[in-house]
Amino acid sequence: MLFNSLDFIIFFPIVVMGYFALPFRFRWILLLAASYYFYGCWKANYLILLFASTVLDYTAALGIGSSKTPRGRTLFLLMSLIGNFGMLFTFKYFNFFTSNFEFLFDFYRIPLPALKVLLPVGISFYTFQTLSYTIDVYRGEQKPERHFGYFALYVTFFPQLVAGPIERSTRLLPQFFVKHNFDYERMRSGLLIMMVGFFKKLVIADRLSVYVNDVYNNPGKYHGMPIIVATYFFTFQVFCDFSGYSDIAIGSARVMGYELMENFHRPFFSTSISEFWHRWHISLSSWLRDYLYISLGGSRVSKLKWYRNLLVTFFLSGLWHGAGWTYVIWGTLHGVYCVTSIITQPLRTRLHRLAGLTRVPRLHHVLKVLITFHLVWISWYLFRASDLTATCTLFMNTFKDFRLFDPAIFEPLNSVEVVAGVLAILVMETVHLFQERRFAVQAWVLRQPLPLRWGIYYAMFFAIIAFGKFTEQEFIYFQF
Amino acid sequence: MNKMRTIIKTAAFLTVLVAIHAGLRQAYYAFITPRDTYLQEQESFTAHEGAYDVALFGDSHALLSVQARLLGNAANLSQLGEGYIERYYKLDYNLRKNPGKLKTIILPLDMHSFSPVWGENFNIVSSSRYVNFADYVWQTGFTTKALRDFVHYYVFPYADCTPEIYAALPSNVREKTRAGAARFDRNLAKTPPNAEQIKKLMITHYGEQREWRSEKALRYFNRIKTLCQKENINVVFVRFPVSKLYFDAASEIVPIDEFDRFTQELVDDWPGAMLLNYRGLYFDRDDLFADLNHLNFEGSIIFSQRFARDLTDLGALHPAIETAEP
Repeated sequence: MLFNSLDFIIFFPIVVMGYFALPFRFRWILLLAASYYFYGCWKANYLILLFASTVLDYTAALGIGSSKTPRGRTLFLLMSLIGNFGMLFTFKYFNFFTSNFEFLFDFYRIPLPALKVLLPVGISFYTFQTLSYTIDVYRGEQKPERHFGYFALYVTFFPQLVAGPIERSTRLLPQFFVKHNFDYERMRSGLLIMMVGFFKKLVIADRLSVYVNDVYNNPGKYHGMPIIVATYFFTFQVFCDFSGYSDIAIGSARVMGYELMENFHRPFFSTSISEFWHRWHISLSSWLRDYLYISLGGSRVSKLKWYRNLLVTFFLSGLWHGAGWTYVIWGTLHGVYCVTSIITQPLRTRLHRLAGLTRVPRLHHVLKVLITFHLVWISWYLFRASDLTATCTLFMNTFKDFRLFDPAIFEPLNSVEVVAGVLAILVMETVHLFQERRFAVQAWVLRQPLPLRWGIYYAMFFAIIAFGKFTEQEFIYFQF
Repeated sequence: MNKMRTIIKTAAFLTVLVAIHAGLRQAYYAFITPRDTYLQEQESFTAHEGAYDVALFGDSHALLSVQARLLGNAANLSQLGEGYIERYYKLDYNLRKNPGKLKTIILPLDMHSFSPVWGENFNIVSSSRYVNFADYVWQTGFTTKALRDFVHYYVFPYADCTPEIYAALPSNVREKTRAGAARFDRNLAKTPPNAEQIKKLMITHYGEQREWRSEKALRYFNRIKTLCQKENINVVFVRFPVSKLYFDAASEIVPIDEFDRFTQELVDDWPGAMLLNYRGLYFDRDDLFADLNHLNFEGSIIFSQRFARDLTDLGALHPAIETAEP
């Protein structure tokens, strides 16, 4: 089920009403059933995978908890790792792997196997979530959960099941044991966050996607400015699509009394690539940091190993996003950015001092934000293009027949739609700018006199209705 | 007490929300939809005093082939992509809204008129002004899609209104007219379509299944018949002109003899109905077509004059008040 569908608009109030109407001891059953239904609406067959993943990690964690020897604990951890990564490999990476080793299969005259399966929605998200639980149990940071129902709910909790945030068991599991009574203020706050999410998804992301799809799905069709505009639009599309999903997830969980982690923290105000990754898809970057980067030694090793750790982490982050070379190179490029940034740090500091930038810190800050934004911007060419050939074509065509005021800019989308999209981005980024300056926008709204406060709610609601795209487009991160 | 206050506040909030919604809905109907060229035709039809001699209810063939002003006291209410289901609802709406205004209606009997993809075409965007939701659900079944369409087109017609705002901008109305005229100026003889384009059109008209007869479309045809008989409205059926290229391609899908027999039976079973067959009228005049199956500007003038004469001969039309040389 999609958040941006009528089905969800009907489903969610029913679940919330049922949730608060039921006695506490039965609520987990309702939430679990609702979560399975939510996922099953997409493809009921794949509920088996979800269930298998749940059983696997439930058993592994209990095994780790009851093992007397470190060897036994390690064996159970391995069981979970092999099972989860095996599932991920089979459904997500198998065809990518075989197609890349085609020459070997050809050489040994082995018929090339191909799996004709649909990528299960959100498999990377729930696999990483359950894995974090088992690893935490192994590390002694989390006690194994004995109640299968609560654990299953942790794996499948519908607001964050298919596209995160990837929640840690230490944070989410205990919340299921707390009785949440109906709270008007909390519900209002949750609904407001959901509304922001819908605004991002329907008004910005889905509108810009029309432009982006036209340009990126036809790599040879446009030259110059339309490609540049499409890549800027994609930058905001992917942000609004994913952070919009996270907002709806966080908001809908809050309505029921659950707090999910923040997944985006105004990433386009980052002053460096490493800061960008502290603000973008926080739940994944912190997962990779805690379970991969630090396990490899993090930064507390020799410089060369540190660089290696960074590159490996970003390489795998790219691979997590998709089974394709464009994603792998996209991830690695971010790793290269980080390593280059560390290596050139002393030189850049000296240059900044020479240029006098240190005396104008505000300008210096703005420049850093702009440079980081554009380094990320370039990488979206890889992320969005269908393959490496399309990436190259689009990149080369950017410089071909370049005209600043190219009338083709309005070819993929009419001027009113472009203006509506750009205005919506400006509104969003202005709010972000205020938030960046530690101005609590939501708290400010809630402090306003009733007419103004309601005016803001109405304006947002009707802006979503009048300017939203209601084509029920899937969220980009579903495919990961 | 606190609970009561919350309930009252929520109710007040929702009341204002509904009031704003009603205002926006009204504004949309008042300022945006009247810019729709088809709706303008419908509005002028409604505003016209007295009865029309004839009114056309067809798809793009009828719309582009006939210039109503050349017929005289006539209206062309045809709409792009219209099938027999939509046509029934539109006729029903006009009979209720404009009683006594219709004397004779023109209905198409083209080769694609009863194909499942075309005849059953039921476009909620254009039909929502004629079809109430109950009828719509009856049509489509009580599905999520029906509910979604209801919310979008009946409850929130102004939802996602940027394309309509764009189309309503004065510069774009001019541009649309210019583009329409440009399309109307094309000449099939100078720009013949390739095999791929012909194949694509056949799929648009007959679907991948290449079928030409839909029982559902036929049911609505019969509902129109009942309606016309009840309201005492005369009917003239027309096979609109197509190019030879179109005819040859469509003949591979539609068995012509069987189709003609079938449509002739429909006409014969309809008391007082007449059939005017112009299908092959311009087989040797590709220069009169804008594309495979639509007449261009010159073609529409020549055809409209011919059509006016024939309707006058049938007694359905009084002599045209305006004439133009091709």
